[in-house]
Amino acid sequence: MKQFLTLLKYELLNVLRGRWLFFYTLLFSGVSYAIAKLGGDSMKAALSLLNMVLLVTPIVSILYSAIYWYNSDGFTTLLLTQPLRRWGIFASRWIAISLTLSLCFVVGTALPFVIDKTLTGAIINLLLMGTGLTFAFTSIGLLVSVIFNDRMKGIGAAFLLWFYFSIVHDGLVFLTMVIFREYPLEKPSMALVASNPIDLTRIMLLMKFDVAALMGYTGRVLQRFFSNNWGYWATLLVLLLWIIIPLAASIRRFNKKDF
Amino acid sequence: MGRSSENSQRQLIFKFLLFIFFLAHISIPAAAKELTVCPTCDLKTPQEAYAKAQDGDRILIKPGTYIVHGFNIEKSIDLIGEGEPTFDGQTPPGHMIQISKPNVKIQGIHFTNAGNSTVNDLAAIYVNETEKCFIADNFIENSFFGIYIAGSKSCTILNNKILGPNRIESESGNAIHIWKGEDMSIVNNITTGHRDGIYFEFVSNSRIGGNYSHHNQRYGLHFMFSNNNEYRKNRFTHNGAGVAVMYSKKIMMQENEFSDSWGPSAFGLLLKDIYDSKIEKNYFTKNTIAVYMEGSNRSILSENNLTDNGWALRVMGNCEDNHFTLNNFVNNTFEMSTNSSSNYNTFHRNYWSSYEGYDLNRDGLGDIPYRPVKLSAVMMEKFGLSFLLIKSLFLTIADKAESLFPSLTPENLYDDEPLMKEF
Repeated sequence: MKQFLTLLKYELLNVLRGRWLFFYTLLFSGVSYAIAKLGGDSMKAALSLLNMVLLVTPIVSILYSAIYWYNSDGFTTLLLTQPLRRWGIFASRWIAISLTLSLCFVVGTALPFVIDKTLTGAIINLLLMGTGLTFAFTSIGLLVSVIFNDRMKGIGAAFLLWFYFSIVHDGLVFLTMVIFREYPLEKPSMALVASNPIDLTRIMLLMKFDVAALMGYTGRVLQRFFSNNWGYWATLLVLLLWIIIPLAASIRRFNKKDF
Repeated sequence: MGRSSENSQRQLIFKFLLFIFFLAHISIPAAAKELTVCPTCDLKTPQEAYAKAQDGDRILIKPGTYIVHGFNIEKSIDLIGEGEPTFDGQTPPGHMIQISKPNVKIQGIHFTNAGNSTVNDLAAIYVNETEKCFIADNFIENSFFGIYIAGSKSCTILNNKILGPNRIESESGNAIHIWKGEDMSIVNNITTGHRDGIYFEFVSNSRIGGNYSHHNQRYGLHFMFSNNNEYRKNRFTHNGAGVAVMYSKKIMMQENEFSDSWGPSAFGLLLKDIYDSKIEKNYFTKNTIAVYMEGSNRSILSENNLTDNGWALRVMGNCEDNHFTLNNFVNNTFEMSTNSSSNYNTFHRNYWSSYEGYDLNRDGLGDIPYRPVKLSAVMMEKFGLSFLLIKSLFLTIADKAESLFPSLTPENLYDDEPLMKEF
């Protein structure tokens, strides 16, 4: 345990040394400052921030974790020569990256609202979901970089994965809708939503924002699901799976990996 | 000779004036008699007083609770409550008060527990085949229909508060229901908890103003087959649909507020088979669909504010020659949707908050036309489930691409000179 904490400490210091995390925080605080100052009610502010969060947190997390991994390749090799547990080395790095990134995101986004005294439930929800996305995509990014030895291939794959989750997946969802429009898709649609962490957080937050009434019968069904406690916890659980499964897979891979 | 004839003429005029003076002074006070009803008076019930009253009399009712049902008023009398006496209907089968004579006035009375029936349209105040009734300042509570006027004209319904029992739609009546009428004024009433707040069927040349209709099961205000009416400065909030105007012509709708009709199949204003109407200076806020039009033609929508709605406009393909101008469309999730690929309406100089064009010559008008129907709106129309993609990057990109090269959205539906600033 002591070993692990020491590792975590040095990983954290290493991550924090990176200068552009500062810019990452600044980016979020700039945008949310503008929204907090300009926008009317907090619902609308949260809705405007939503786009930003869904776009930026995944790509930054996945690319940052991949790049970080490849940059500290030498350090990893060095650590592996020491009598340390492999999972400890990996987990400390994962925690360091995702914790720092989430912290930057939360502090950057929340600060203007805290100063403005307009930090509401909607925005806290958004912060929570953004943090979930950061953890999930850090896991995915590290998984990719453990799999690919080649730096360019790894970063390319991370980028492609982000592209898939952000755009291609929705395209496929749309295609499914068009092809199977004659069938009742209410329940399969839940699976489609759950199979993409970005979609999951987006729908979950939209349902909280009362946009659901636009959506006719299916919207009603979904809203009922998401707005009761059970649905809320189920969503968080699925998001947690999106964090744990890639993490477990990459630790497994890292344990067996030949350097 | 000349002089005396002048004198006699003067006398004649003087006599005539004197006659008029006496007529005015004598005839009117002689007719009006006042009868007072209170629990401790000689006249203990309104019915007793009514038996003694004649046309033109005034029955004054002091505070107290009176059992009133099946009370037929067939004399032109005033029934005035002082300090809000209560008429308890005790929910029998029958109207509480039925008026079938002109010039009847009902004022300042609290009606409660009128009968409920699924066979007959029972009401607290039922007006049948007459004219010039005046119903004001009453509080009607827990009734099936509040005020029901059939086949009458020139009635005034003023400052009443009608609070319904909030039953389900199929078991409740309307707060103010007018079936076949002319020249009605419905002013400053509050209607809530009924099926429709105000209902017009075969009513013409009437005015509805300053009413507040909220939390009704179906519509705040409902027109059927009613032509040449106007409604102004009313508020419609939290109703199934704010106002439904159906099968009617020449309706003026001005300065009303439609808000919070939110839910599946909820509308701010629903227009079905409407001709030659004007919808001006209204506020539509936070409705699922602000204005829904079906089979409506030759109407003008101008200077309206449509803000924070799910859909600002939903115009079906069978609407023609409607003119949309100088409206403000601000912060709506979808500005417009339609089920047709062609368009026979005109859009001119509206403000669209999601317009991204430019104005090089600074005349306040955008230099490139604006297309309010987004690809995502078309997709929602065709595939209900595509709402799963709202606000996704995929849909944003698809919308952008479509706006550059329209292929699925109606090609000739655009605002040729969108405003750069709100009107």
